[in-house]
Amino acid sequence: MPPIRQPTDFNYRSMLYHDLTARGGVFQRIDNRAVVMHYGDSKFEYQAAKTLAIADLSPLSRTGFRGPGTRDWLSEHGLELPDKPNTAVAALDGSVIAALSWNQFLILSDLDAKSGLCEKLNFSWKRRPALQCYPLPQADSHAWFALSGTQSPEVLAKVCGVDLRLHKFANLRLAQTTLARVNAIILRNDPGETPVFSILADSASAKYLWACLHEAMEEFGLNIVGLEALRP
Amino acid sequence: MSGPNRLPAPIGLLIDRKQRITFTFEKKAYQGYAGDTIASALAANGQWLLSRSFKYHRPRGILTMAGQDANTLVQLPGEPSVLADRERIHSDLAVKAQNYMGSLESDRLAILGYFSRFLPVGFYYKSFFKPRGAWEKWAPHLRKVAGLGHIDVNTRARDYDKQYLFCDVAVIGGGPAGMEAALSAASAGADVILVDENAVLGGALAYSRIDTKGLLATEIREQLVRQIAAEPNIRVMTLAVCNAWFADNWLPVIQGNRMYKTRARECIVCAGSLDQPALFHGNDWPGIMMGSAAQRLIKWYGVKPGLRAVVLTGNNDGYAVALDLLDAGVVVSAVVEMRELAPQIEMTASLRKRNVAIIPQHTIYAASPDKKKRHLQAVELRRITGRGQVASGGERIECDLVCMSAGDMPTYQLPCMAGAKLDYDDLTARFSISGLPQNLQIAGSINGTRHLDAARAQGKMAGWKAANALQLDVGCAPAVCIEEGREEEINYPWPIFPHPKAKEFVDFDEDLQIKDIENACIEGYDHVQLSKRYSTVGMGPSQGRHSALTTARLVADATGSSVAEVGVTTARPPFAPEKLGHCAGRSFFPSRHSGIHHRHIELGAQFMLAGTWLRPAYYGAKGSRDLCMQAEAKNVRQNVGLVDVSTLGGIEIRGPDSAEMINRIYTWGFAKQPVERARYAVSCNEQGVVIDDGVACRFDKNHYYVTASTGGVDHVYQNMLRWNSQWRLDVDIANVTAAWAAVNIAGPNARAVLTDVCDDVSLTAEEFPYMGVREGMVAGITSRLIRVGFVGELGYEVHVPAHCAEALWDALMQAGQPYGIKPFGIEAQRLLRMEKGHLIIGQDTDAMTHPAEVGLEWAISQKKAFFIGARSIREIEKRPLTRKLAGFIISESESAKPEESHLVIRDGQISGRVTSCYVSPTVGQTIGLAYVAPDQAKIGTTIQIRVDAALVNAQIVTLPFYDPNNQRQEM
Repeated sequence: MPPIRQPTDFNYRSMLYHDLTARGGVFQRIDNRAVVMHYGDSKFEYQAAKTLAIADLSPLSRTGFRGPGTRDWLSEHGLELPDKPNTAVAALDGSVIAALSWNQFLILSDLDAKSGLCEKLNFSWKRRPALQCYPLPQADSHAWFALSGTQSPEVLAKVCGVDLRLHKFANLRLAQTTLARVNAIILRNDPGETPVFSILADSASAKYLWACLHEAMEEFGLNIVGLEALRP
Repeated sequence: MSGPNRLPAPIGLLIDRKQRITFTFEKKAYQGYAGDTIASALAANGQWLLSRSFKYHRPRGILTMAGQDANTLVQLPGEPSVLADRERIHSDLAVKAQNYMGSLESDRLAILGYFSRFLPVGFYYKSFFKPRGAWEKWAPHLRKVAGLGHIDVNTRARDYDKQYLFCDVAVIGGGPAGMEAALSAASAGADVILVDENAVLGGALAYSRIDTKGLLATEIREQLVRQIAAEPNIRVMTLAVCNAWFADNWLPVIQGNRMYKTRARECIVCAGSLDQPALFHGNDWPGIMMGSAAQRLIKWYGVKPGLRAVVLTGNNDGYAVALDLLDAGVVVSAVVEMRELAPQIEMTASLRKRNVAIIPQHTIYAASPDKKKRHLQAVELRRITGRGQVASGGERIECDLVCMSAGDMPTYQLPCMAGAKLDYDDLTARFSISGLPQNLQIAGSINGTRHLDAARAQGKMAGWKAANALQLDVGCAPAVCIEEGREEEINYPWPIFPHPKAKEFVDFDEDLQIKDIENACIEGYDHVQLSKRYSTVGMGPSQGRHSALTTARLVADATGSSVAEVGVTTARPPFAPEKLGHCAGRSFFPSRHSGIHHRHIELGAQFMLAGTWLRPAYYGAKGSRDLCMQAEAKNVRQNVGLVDVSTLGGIEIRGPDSAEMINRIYTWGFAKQPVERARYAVSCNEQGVVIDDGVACRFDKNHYYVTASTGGVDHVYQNMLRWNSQWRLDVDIANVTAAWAAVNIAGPNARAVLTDVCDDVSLTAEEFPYMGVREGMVAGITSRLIRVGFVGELGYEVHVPAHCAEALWDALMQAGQPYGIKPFGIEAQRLLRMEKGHLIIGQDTDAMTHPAEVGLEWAISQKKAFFIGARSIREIEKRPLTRKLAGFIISESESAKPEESHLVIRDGQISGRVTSCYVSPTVGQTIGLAYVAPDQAKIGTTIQIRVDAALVNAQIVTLPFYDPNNQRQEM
């Protein structure tokens, strides 16, 4: 079991870490960042995540690339890419590659943060910048929340005008939309049987959006969970 | 039993006799059952008088029992004008009646009824506006007696919510047609929402009578309800009202305190039809109600609607009503049939067998109240001798209940909101609906059928068509049930019987009588839209539900037109009363925070909004702005300060054409800008107006990082995208404002502090000069350093990944301790830049400002062939200036300090305005910027600024106020 850490042990800190700390979040180190693993009751959180729960995944890595040369460049790295915009593919290592347009991709870390795909791609680009392929600072421009459980679409319907019902919005589909008047990418990427919506939105609006989602969840039961609860 | 009129169990579909509820009406306690509405519980207790009418304060009681009329509007604590026939009772509910003076039973204003002949249509327009000024005198008195209910301004706000809802098919109305439509669409795999305003599904099946025995409706309803419950594709929403139809089947469905913003791919409206009243003298006394209202009282709430009834009918519905009344123990004195003959149906025979007199070709000519004038006591019957004409003598029948079934009107509002037309058929005396848009259908009685089998068949077909349009696997089309020409589908054409004493009410909401509509036409308001505005018919809470048909007939009669030509007035949303809370619902006010926000809180910052960003205005107690601002500014000048500038816009421009892009967007020359250098960048629009500024930092041949103002960055970014969609330059443009946090460390000690935490960038003046840019590590964080001087001191902007902002702040604050570092807020920053004479775009400029007016000529390239606004600027430059931004100082220490937008006055005329003004601790005087006339901009000129009522003298001085040789920022 990795040692418990504090967010202030690291330079990279979630915009919400003060709130998460106040709620009793137990942090562990992942890639030089502190991630809340649980809030003291992992079993409860695991069960709650099946119905409805929210987690802050902002400390997990993510990156983006854009430009006419991006598809080729990513393919050269052996990645399977979505064949149309607003869809995603899940790699075997658990990372997810989402197409925001034909030439723009968002890459999300796996929940175990073991694949290191984002870091590899960022490093590769820095070492040898590709033609017409530009990295986007998704790790900083966007906060990353996960809304988990079967009731998630009901909650999202209170803040978002896209039909995200589970039978209409399949796994590995994404919507580029607004959530409570903030631009957001909503990606369904179920790690197992439980539906999970990844919400990526303006990091400066993270506190606002976190509060909005909490308010929307209240009628169903507000469960804030750590990363462990989302792992299948 | 909860009241003498309560019928024995099991009658009463909606009530739960196990739960008794006590509430008060006009401070008197009553008992009802859970599920009762206020009106049904009061009726069960014999309280029929619910309200007083709007104009004549006539006593009013139940009319529809369906929430479709204004008679039942009551006052609840904190909420006026609540429909008593829809609002359910609960413990301790305190209900009051509305619109009376004295008591509900003895309303002193009822005297107005005696003066009705002096209160003709348009009375207000004619009487109170002349002579000039009269209205001001009348208004307070009229307002005292007008209006319904009272608003309690101390009421606690309630929570209202909104939610999106999605479905393949929305079926509005859960009657037999609606249920069949939902089942039909759902069975093909469609995702269906079935919306009904009542507590249970069934529509008319839940209260009306189809067969003589009175069993079939319940059987069919229960069967359909079971099927719907078993169908997983149907979501049933009861006690929900679809309040409008908007383009593309956008349907606001209100249920409780929530508005569901529903998106339906297909919509089927099965909203039924509304019973229409007959018009006779006194047709509004409590005890006179629609036949369907009596049936609802009996079947829904188990309430006996009266003791002795007369049923007035012009169609077959009245016979079913009469049988229901008999079954409920009501004595039916007569069925008064307006048609020439009673219909040859089984129900007629059954009524005769039960000794009910059926009197054909007769009408109620007048209704009279009891001695206290609170309830119906008797009616006078007359033989009908022609259209609207009756014989001279008649028969009086004692009764306390009249049930009217004079015809019906389709609930046309939603389809007409969608653009459908209403056509009137003289043969059936009914309106019908046509011209529906694509993806919207109607079925059931709204579509003209009054026959159950036909309504169900229509529903089935509509559901099938909807599923077919959705390209679902629908199979063969269901059988079509053609039921044209049925007797029950014909309205009685003219249930309007004028009386010499009038009081035959067309519109119960506004107390409008037959003569009022006729007089409106005579006075020239002879179009139905004009009649409406002039007479106010249809403008009350029930929005013409019971007056539209009669009004159309009366206007047609008065103008010699056909009813089809007259039509009805436009149906507009909302269908039912809608609370402001529903429209407001959950509100979203986005706010943005920098990654350093919590540190600002810990340091006691007072925040201000900059766009949607929350920024520290100053650090200190609330109300100590000036002191804190000046202390913070002083520390920057003397030691070192740290300000969070994360809100600055940041735009990355990358690619082979990035320099060309910058060169076109900004006014200065950038093509030859060296790498690792920054340049001040001004952007203008096509009209040559200054729209934003920032610095363009060149980190690489093909990479610019441009800053923009907090409020302007989104616009600048959109502009860049828009222009490049035309230019097609090979660049990538990314708005990275949120991705990069930034601080500005400024002051004579800034270099020393930064040196302590940055060891891979040389910070010496020679190696990192003013307007230089570098990349390096600050406190272990990948950083972009920009040497700028916005506040006029040695300073560095340090830009870091947003999630590292707090770590950077912590490191700099710690490293700065020995050097006296302190945070400073936006107010101090504005003061400091003011001293340095730097502009803030948007504060010191406006939507007309061109560069020469604000001294930015130097930032305009004269060599470039093109940049946005170049042509306009060059044209403007040929003309003389009309104003100039100039710096001023107020030397007289006792003078009041001008504020932004205070006016510069010359010879009593406005010659300019102040844009910024501060008391400067550095300069020791009040300093500011103001637009003045060009000749006033000459150094040494005295201008006068109007501060409140006084004129304050100020001297125009050379800018900047501080460090004119730039020695401080370039040290």
